[in-house]
Amino acid sequence: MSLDELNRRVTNAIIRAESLPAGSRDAWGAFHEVSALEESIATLVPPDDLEGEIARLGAVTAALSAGEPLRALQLAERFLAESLAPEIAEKLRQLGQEADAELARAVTDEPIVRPVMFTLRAA
Amino acid sequence: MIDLDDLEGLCPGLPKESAGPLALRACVALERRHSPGVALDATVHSAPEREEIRWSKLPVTVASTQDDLRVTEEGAVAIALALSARHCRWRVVRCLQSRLGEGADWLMVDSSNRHVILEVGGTDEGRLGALLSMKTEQARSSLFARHCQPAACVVRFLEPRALLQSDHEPR
Repeated sequence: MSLDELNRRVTNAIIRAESLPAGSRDAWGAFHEVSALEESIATLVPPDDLEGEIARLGAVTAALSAGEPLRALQLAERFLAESLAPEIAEKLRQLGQEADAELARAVTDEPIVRPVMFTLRAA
Repeated sequence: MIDLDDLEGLCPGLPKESAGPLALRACVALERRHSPGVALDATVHSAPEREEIRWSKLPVTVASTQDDLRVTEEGAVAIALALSARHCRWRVVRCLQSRLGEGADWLMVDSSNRHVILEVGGTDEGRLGALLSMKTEQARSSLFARHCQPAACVVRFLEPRALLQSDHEPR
């Protein structure tokens, strides 16, 4: 897909995602699409280009808005390995920390599962 | 003349699927007090401009289904993109996520293909001068401003009025 087409699609996807109730299942799905489109743009545009910077930060931001902190963290780590401007690298690190915190919260908030012992008896 | 029924045709690069909702919200914001054909007084890079805004009158039930804040914000975007296309010959590249940070709502290019970051603000009846100062400062301090021309456009719907300013255009 061309960069122009990806830009058109990501514009439509952002406007749609941001019109949905934040944190809703629909919004998560819509932001997942935004993140995937931003990631595709990032593969086409180098990290030191303005559009490349926007796409890299956008892919991670949208993954967070999609309720996918693990994906956000993986993307941030991948992009941080590229040669980025210091301001962009710093912003990516901040987003990575947000994703880390969300992952930690998810682990804390998970219901506690305890093993239950039982014995099967013949009927 | 700004025809909100053809916002896509007026703003190069703006996809139809995005132009529709933005134009609809501008119509709802304007119809709070005005009818199609209302005049917009704008100041673009310190030059006064006057535009007639046209649209097809909406069914009365539409406004009640729309969120007030979103109507004002996205309605302002529709007017800002139309003004920047008509008076600055800027083309839309893409919009940016609002969570990405303040100061950069839209990425555009000017007629020399230089990038412009546009920050937009809308108000129903607030003071435009103060809003423009705030939005201009946000655009200048955006993460992406070091690559491009920061610009801001603010719109008020009470008596339709808009101010558009960027750092590198003649003032």
